Amino acid sequence: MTAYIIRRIFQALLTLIILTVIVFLTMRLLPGDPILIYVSQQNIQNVTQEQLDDLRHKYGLDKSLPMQFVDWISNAVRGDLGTSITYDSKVTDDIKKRLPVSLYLGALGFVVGSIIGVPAGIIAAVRRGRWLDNIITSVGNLGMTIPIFWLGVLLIYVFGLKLGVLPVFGYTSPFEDFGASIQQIILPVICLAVPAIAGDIRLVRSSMLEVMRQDYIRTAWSKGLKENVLIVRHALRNGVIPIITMKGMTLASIVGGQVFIETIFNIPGMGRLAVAAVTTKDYAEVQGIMLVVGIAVLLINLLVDLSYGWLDPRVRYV
Amino acid sequence: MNKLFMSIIIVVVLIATIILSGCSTTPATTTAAPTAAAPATTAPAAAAPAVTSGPAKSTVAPAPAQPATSGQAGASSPVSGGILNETFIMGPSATFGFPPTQMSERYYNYVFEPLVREYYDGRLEPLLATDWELASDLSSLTLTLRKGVKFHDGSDFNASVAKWNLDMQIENKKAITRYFSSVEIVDDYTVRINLSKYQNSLLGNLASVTGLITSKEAFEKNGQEWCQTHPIGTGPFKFVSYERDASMKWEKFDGYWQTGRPYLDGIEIFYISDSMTQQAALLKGDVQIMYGAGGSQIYRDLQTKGYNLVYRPADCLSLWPDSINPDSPFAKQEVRQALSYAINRDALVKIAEGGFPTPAFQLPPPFAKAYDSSYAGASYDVEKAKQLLADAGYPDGFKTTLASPFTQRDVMVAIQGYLGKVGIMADIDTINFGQYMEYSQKGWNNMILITPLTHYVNWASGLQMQLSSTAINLKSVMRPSGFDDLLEQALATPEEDISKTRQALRLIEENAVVIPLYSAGTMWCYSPNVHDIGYAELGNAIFRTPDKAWLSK
Repeated sequence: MTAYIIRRIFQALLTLIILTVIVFLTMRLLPGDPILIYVSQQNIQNVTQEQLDDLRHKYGLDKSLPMQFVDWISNAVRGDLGTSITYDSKVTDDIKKRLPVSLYLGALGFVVGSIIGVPAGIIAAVRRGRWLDNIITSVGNLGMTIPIFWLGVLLIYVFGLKLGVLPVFGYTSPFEDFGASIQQIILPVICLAVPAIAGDIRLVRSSMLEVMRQDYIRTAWSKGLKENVLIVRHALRNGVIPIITMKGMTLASIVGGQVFIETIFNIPGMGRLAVAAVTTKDYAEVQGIMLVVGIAVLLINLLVDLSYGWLDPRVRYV
Repeated sequence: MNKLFMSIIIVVVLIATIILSGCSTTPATTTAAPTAAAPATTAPAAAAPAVTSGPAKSTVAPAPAQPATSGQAGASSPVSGGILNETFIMGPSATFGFPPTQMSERYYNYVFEPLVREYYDGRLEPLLATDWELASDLSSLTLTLRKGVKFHDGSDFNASVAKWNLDMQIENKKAITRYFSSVEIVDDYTVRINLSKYQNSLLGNLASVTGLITSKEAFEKNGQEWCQTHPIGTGPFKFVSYERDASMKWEKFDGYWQTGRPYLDGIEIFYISDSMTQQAALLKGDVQIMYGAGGSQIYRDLQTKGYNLVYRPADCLSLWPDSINPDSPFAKQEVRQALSYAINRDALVKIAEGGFPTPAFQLPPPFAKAYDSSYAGASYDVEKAKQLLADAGYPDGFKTTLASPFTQRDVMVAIQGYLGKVGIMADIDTINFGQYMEYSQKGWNNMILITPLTHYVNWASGLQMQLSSTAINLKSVMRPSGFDDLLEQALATPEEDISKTRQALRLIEENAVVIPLYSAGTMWCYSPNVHDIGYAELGNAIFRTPDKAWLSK
């Protein structure tokens, strides 16, 4: 197990390096000069070449590409992800401000989606063919087809405008004003949770159906085990691995933010930060965000893989 | 059988859903482009909201000395109190709090004030400078400064502070200070700007970002980096906080030099990038002002619900072929002129930005001094366009590309269609902003760049900034011989020499190095209870008069 973990960590480091190189090169291959974009956004009409050179020097863009990469990576390992060209702010500070927002939103969406989706999928599987299964499956299919941005606009219209019970935009930290925070987060969380619930219903139902067909389940039924004991102790435990895999992927995506939700509800999260950075070719910002997201994805994937061994004793790590 | 029937029903419903969801829900608009006084159709408010397609008629009084009344009910006199909430699509792009290093920021004049205030028609109003005198030999400008003005940090505004501000602008090489040789203090409330060269855009420039005054004491105490995110000015509102991509807040400055003002207790701007959410926030009452970068059908819908609209032409969307490239078809004047005759501007404005823009046959809008009502420009004439192409050696047309990051897709497709009718087959390239900057500042090849040219009160100054031989943008545009000289002549006299400005405009328009399409602008939509915010009154399209703004109940 230890050897497995160490090996995975080395693989993760190698993956991270490859990821940073790809992001570094891709950003520089995209058309557009970030210094020219910066100058234009400042509405500077008659900037001199000297001023442009000063700006390039300030952001290290006058060095060769390998040197720029080496500088960035050597600073990154010390926790300095560089300076944003667009905002002239430390990328580390920007991410520190935005990441908790995305995590708060994403985590709530994840929890709500799981609390509703997983039990719904189990019920649909256990009551297969009955009216409850039909309703749950239909809801799941509907949830898969609804576009998130459309759902967001619809929720704003109904709950924000027509009923007037919830705010239509904004984000407040729960540590600043818990009541306002909850009010503002309800609609975005619903938008996040709906597709999560739909996905959970489908996956959990099919996974559970697969398990429920097994002989040992039939044996347990015939032994007279109670339904809930049978489901939780036997069926769910065996059917949970694909669910854990999907949950791991969902958790990893939380770190990168949800740009549609953040845009519609005006939430200053990682998604909007990333999109703005790409649009303005803010090299350091994009590289920093991708590094953080990459680390999160690799860590979560490692944890998910390790959880298989805990859930299924037959899984051995070599 | 039942399962088969159910499956068929589900498939039919799915297909129907896909087809229906793909159908457009935008009602076809048959309204004509708005006139300057378009009446509202269903205005529930007492004051019928109308769209002002040019700058609003100024109702501004000279710099007030009287205390304003407050606490009075009714929409006719200002009422104190209330927080004004606005929404805009994006926040400041960089450090925003220090005028000497920041060039353009639309909310500056909540916090900062310039030395003079300039209106859209060129009128100047004393603000932090109460009087000014140009030397008879045009070698200097002497400014008398207002007494009794305090900064938000309690420090005084005086000649020393004014000089320091102007010196910082010079140090940061702001383009409009390039002819400032020095700034001297004459007495505690008088400064003199010594000029190496006079240009009549000087006072107008002092009304812009260059003339905004910030606290010297705050800079000396905290340093530039702090000042860049903590604006300290003399304006009616003090900066409270800024949350990037979220909001910016200001509160009333109790020590404001205009006694009794501001009327508002504070202002908050929410940066909402989605226009539907902006609209919802306005309809719900969470914000009273919605600001958009251009017009659209959304605003017409809001107008029918009783909201006021002000559409201020801010720039002229134009075609910029690469006239400087000798291998390009656009090197020939006839080809460029053909472009102008090929476009039906009157039809184009009906689909652009909700129908709010007005056709442009010359660069300045009708309300500008530089506008020449006797100049008709090139009207829509397909046959003439074809003839010009044939004369230039392109009887069968040629292929090219239309590129723009700013222009609506519909408009680009329409332009493509018009050019296609005369034989110019254009591909559409919707480029991103980075690519656009690359093209603009490094040049483009056999392509038409579609981009706006900003309106200026002093058009000679604006043209010099954006189009002179030393301008950093629009590198592939030929500057006709004599263009720079005409601009210099227009700027050299005590007041702008409009005849020279018009000559410079005719030079580039008749050479067709630029083909104006339509005058586009910025749109403000606000609740009927918002008054005297000053939209579209000032020379700078993004400035307004927050000291006068008030909310009725």
